[in-house]
Amino acid sequence: MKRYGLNNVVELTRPRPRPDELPGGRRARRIVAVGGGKGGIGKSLVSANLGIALARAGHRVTLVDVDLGGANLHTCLGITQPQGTLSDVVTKGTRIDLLAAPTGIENLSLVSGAMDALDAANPRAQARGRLVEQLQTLDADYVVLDLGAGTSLHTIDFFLLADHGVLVLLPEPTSVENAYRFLKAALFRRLQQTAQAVGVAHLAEAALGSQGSAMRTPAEVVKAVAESNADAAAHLERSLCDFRVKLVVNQVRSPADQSVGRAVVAAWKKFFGLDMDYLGAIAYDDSAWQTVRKRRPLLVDAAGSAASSNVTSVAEALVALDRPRSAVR
Amino acid sequence: MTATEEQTLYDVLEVDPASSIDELRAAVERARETYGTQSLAVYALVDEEQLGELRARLDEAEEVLLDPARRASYDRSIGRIGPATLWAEDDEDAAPLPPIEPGPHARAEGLDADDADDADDVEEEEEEAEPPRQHALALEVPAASGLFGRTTGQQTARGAREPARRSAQPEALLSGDWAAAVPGDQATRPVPEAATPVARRERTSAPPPDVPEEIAVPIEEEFPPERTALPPALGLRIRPAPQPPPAEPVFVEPVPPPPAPPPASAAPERPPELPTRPREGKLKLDIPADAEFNGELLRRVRESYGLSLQQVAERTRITRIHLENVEADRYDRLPATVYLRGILVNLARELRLDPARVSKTYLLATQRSHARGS
Repeated sequence: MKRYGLNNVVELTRPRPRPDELPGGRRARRIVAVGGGKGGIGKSLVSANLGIALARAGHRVTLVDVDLGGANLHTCLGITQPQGTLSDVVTKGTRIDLLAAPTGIENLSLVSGAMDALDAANPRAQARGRLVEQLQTLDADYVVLDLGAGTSLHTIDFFLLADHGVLVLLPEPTSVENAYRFLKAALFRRLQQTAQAVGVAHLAEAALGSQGSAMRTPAEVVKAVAESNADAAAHLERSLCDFRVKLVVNQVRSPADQSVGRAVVAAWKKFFGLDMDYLGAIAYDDSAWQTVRKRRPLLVDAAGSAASSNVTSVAEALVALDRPRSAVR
Repeated sequence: MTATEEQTLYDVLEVDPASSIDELRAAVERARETYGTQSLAVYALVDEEQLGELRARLDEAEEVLLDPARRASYDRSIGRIGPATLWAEDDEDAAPLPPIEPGPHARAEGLDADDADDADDVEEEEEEAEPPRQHALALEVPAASGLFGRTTGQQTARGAREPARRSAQPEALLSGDWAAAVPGDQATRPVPEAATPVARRERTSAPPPDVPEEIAVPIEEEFPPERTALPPALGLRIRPAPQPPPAEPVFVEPVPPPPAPPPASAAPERPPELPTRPREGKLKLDIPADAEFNGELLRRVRESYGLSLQQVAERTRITRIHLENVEADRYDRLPATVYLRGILVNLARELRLDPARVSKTYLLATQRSHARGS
């Protein structure tokens, strides 16, 4: 049986709630992770162009390519691979901010994740921990992480670390299937991590069914924990509610495709009881793949295209989410 | 999440219970698109069984809620009664049905808990868990205690038995597969009936004056829509401090009713201490004052009200199998006298018969049968 170990969990201390205005009038940093489980669905394209859109809106943005085995964000941006990569953070202890390379776009820098060592794509827990720690030190308004495909631990950990976990999917069964698998894995790991952090791992584990009693929903796990530890349960509950994924549907071709985003949000809520924010759809657009082939960013090379304006809308929707946030917390 | 079995049909459609028929129709359409077989959004999200349950509920919602008469009846069955509700006017042309009240299920519960050969009743009861209601888990507030002697204590006792009912789950959760992580077993939970009227009151925010303070208060901390707590679909609410346990439930002997009412005035006046409710339906059957109630007669009375076994089971919280056995005079399958009396009294109240007379004559018949049989 495939299980995530509980013993080598990276301590994912989420950044503490920050005031929206830092001293000196700067905005607080948000980490945005772009994932989706499946490969080839446009995660890198979305990441790169989301970064550009945010930068154009006046935010200082650092793109970080954490697709460690297949980093190519630099190609999406049309620049050569920066000299230093995340590899240096792990092996040499280099500070991550020294690795941020300019992209030719104002306000936008890139940290490359290219790691050529054989096992680099699956860093050990310690290395992951160091990466996570370093990511949180980056000085930017938005740090956009481009995640790799699959549901490997580091991918999920980066997704969970982020203030905004952005899920990209295509209106295709394969993509939807992988996206849900990714979400479930992430949700499960969030539950485990939080349970461990508040010292009720055994309770959560029991509630999850390993000891015969059957629980099916996140809520039931929380409820079971609440029976013996109300404080821990409150933590768990908060943590699960924080698992509020942002959805982007890419390569939308038909009106039916347009409705997929809302439907996914509704179905996720229906069956898992958790909210999801729909950031919008990005039209299937020839200019998208054409610009990729030209190694030019969509927003730069085809600024007037439908896909381009869709990405800009997605960025606006994301920024809008941050506005009321301080009031909510 | 959920708990599609536990939700009202309005919850299933994600609409306000006060929605117009057009709104309901649109909601049905929307739900069909979202959860239908062609929908991408549910592909690989949960297993087919769970989807099947949801789709069955959608069928039910369409059938019931889009039919004004059935909707009115359904609204009553989920406790959507009360003067200050918008939908009241929709009901005018609906056939008058007896309003639901928190059913006197104290005895039925005691029966389930204690009856030794009750194993199949559990299953039965699971089937009967509808119309399921949302918020049932959340409303762990003292029920309207006093009314039929029901208290939270009884509900808790019932809750304590729940784990035993759940079938063992696959270990899918531990493999990170949350496909199995969908509520569904909540469907098997009997819902304390008092939860429903309370929940409805909460929505209509017009608590009738008879709601005690302590009921109204905890409910008002409804979830804000955003991230402060798990949403209602999870049917969960973490309460910071447990309610003090109410007094031990007391098995209240049925108040001896007045002498058997003449059949002509089928909506008899009752002594004030006997929990009564406005009776709308008229008993059309002509029952002699000295009638001996057997299963056949009880069935005829029930049918004269147009009530199904299922409806009676839901209202009284008597398991359907017991009701069937009562109506079929299957004395050997009925529970011990002390429980059977409770069943009969509750059933009689539901059918607006004289509880004492029903239980006395029926029990007499069972005793005669036992005497003959042994």
